[in-house]
Amino acid sequence: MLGHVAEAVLSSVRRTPDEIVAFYRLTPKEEPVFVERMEGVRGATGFRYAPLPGLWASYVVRDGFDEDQEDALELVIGCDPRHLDRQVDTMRRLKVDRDSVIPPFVVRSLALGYLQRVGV
Amino acid sequence: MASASPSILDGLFARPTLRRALVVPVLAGFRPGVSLYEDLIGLVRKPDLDIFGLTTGFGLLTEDRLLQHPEILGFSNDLDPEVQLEGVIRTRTWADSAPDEYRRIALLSYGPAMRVWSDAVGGSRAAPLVTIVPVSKNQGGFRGNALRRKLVRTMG
Repeated sequence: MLGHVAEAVLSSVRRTPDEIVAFYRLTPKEEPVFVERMEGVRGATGFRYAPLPGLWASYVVRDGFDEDQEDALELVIGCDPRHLDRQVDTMRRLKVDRDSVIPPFVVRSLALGYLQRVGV
Repeated sequence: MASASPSILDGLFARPTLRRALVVPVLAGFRPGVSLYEDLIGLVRKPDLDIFGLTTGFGLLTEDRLLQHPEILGFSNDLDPEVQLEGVIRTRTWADSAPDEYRRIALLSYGPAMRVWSDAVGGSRAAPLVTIVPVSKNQGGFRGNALRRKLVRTMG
């Protein structure tokens, strides 16, 4: 999904009154390419990249559970629930049958756009 | 008992004046900050006018967003059906709420995003408010005086 770098798979969703936050696990396609490209992101996590209305993206480092397990980089996408509700209403009205409100192309755009913004 | 003057009550309860919107399909070479765009759109910028860039995949984005994030235009493949569908959903979502905010919407009509616009806005609440300003290559395209006159006349 992220070009030659990695595959992003939705791993969990967290809801708060203000936001719906989706976490995507990144699986390297080719380990050396992934490590080289994403190493710079570790120093630039936490920045909220928000080029589209109602959405923001960021990367977080999730600590390994024990000493043997390596830290993992995750893509995080946050949504304004009111914006999401309006989109779901539109999808119903237009009879759009789709698995996700945030399609893979938007996930890819946010993920790669973030990398461009932080110069990785 | 003291009573408020009518002018104060009018001010408290009056419906805010609706604004106008201009929708401009944007491309990597025709977007806010690029001289070709600024020479044309700069003619009609006014305080009561909101200007949106129309993209195939992301629907409408404000000029501010496009100035801050020009890189986003590089991720929208105009021919991909998944991209077009997302553009239709986002544009329709905007079009169904736009009449609450805008009394008039003008559209510069050209380019691949027009299909997304037609699919999204046809039958929406915004459709009756839309005035189309066609861009004709025969009349000089973005640089033609005919388009400049049409745009200025439409946006008043």
